Amino acid sequence: MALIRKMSPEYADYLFDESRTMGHAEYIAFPSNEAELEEVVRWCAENHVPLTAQGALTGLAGGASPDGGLILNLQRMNRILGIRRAEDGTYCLRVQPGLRLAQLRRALQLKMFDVSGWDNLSLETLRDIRPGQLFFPPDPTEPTASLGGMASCNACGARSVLYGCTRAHIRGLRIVLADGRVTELIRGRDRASGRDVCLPLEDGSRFRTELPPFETPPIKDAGFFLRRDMDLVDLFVGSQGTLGIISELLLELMPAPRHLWGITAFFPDDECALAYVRALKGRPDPGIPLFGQKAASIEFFDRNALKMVMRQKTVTPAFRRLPDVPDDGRCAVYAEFNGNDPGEMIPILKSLSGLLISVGGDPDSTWVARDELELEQLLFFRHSVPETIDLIVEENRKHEPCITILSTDMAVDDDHFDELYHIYRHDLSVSGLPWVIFGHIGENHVHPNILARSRQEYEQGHSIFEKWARDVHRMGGSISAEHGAGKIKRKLALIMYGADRMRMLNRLKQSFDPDGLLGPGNILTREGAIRDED
Amino acid sequence: MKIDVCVKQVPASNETRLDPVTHTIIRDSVCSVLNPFDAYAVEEALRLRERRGGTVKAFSMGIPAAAGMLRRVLALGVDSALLLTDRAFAGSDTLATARVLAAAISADGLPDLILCGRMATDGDTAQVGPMLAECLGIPHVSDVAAVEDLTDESAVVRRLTDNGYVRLRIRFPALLTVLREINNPRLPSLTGILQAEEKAVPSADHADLRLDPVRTGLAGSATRVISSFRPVLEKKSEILSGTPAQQAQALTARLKSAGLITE
Repeated sequence: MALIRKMSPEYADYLFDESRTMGHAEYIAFPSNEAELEEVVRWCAENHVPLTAQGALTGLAGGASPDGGLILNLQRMNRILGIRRAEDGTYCLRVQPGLRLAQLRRALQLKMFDVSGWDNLSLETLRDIRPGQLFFPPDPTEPTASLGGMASCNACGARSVLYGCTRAHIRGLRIVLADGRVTELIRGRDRASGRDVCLPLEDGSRFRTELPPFETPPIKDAGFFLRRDMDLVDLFVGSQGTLGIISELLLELMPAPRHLWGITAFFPDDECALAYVRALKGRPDPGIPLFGQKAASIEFFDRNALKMVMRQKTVTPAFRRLPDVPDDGRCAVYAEFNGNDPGEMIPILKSLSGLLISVGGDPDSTWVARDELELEQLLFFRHSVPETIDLIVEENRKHEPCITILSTDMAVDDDHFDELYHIYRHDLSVSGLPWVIFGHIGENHVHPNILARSRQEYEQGHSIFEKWARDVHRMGGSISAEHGAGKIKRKLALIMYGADRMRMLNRLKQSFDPDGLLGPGNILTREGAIRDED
Repeated sequence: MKIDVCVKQVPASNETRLDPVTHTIIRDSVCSVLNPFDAYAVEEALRLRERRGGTVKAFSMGIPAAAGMLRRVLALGVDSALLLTDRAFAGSDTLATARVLAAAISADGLPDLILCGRMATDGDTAQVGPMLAECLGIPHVSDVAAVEDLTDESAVVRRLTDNGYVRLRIRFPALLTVLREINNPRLPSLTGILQAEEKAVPSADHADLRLDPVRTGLAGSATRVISSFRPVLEKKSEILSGTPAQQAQALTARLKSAGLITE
């Protein structure tokens, strides 16, 4: 079949994602529409070839790195197919899974859509929309992520504090199942009945199965999302291509805030920063003024992250534009506020100034971004941290190819976050390994990253992560808030689920995919036991 | 040292877009910001003040709403600002704009140094700075990449040219237009913004500046805009086929015929 090509060295870049998890494959396909996607999936089913779906390869858990068989690369399915206004007034955009978030943002911001093939209703609906009126809130750090990939791991990003994760903004999905049949699911319409699942298929038939008899953690979700009477859309969001392949998404758009303000404050130590974050979250602390404004995002940078970026600034030309960290800044917190009236900003800044002084911060050295251009600088600073980690990991891989990105995104509730942070700090400090901590402190999932330089350090890093998975499980948290378990965090998923529940999840997967062809190696460990190679 | 800096409010994006349904030009949704090139002029003014002491004052000709942009400049640490706003200034070309700025700067007392951004992102002319210097009868250096030696009477500046950099000493009072590479503009501090809120942004019109309205605005402009368009960058590509040796031969022949390489 012309659609399916034999792997060759020219496709080497499709063997790994941003985590640098190196995979292997025999075939690769680039379908450009759902019919072609169906055709590829049917071919795989007929020939018993496993397949791994890929979006933009920006994942951090190896979910898109193939584990043999065929690479189903969806980057050519990158069109916006139409727009509707739902009965509740929400604008919903129909998109293909390979569309990148940055393309979507640009289209909405500038009202620049390729409308060829759109139906009249879509064109009529678009007519009334102003540029920049609507936005899609999820904002994973990597704006080149694909929408299918974001749904597949339920990506969150910084602004999930205010807007929630990708799941909250997906109204519908079209899914190609393992045998090539297609189902269309709409939130609110297609639900489980208790634990009974019945998917309506395009060919008029139905697919029935049963959900496992347990619910996944209420704090962010790593991998599968399970609830009684759940929306069936949610079964596929986060399941990383193990139950079916997303061929189309119906995205819910929101009215865009007219103004975004970013504030990066520096602190003499972590405890001051933690007190500031508690106050931003509205948690009362003795002696600290109450802060009533809800932030859209709250991001943290520890001392090592600040030092690492400032060091990189001296060697990477692209980083020369980064602002200089104040000399006494040992860690930093970025908070973003969204609003519609520019007059809202000054009262917020006045409250923040008082708050900063009370927790040991300094309003004189606090950066404020008041417009798009200034905000770009603060976001560039935020983005420079994972970018620098990428550069360091790439460098370390030259000496030890087994090294991948070693980053976690475990989440706990507000009550347990400080405890978890202190565990991170303690375990990393005694490890002797190079590390940085940064990320989404507003939602209690910062990213400790271990920058392993050798196989021994890499393995030591994994052991630390497994210990944390047990700590987080004890606190009722989740081992992955937004990156998905993919291949790198299967062991952690097993720690979180336990062997019995892992077996139940395997049975669920088997009901959808009896031959085990979809997303091999993602999330699940075989029969709840860790194999040697796991 | 007395330093003046000229700034302009521009649209955040200069991209012309067509509505995909109605095919008309979209005019809304673009907010106004400080001209990005002027941010470097403001930053350099603040840095020179940090080196030699003194004051920095910002001038802008624009609509009344540009006061908000000037307040933003004050938040960066500029000492004071003056907004030049008058219906009589509307439609000014670069010469008429330079006249208004020159009148305001003269009325305020000629500074040691005037800094301007290289150009504005909405007009791309790079003319106002040099014209302002001519109106004031002072020397100027454009495209300055660094202010090196600085005394109370003069500065040594590094200027970018097509063939590299030249070093020039310029006597004060003088005007410099600065490039992006001159510095890395700071972000405003929280304290700076709150302090700027308390400061006044005064304005002046043609009467305050004792300017004859026929020398400003559309009436005082030496040029007329007949039409405007976005320059289109054309790229053509051609795939050469054959063996690597044949491709190399074909490429060499193309480069020779284009005069890019010689025998």
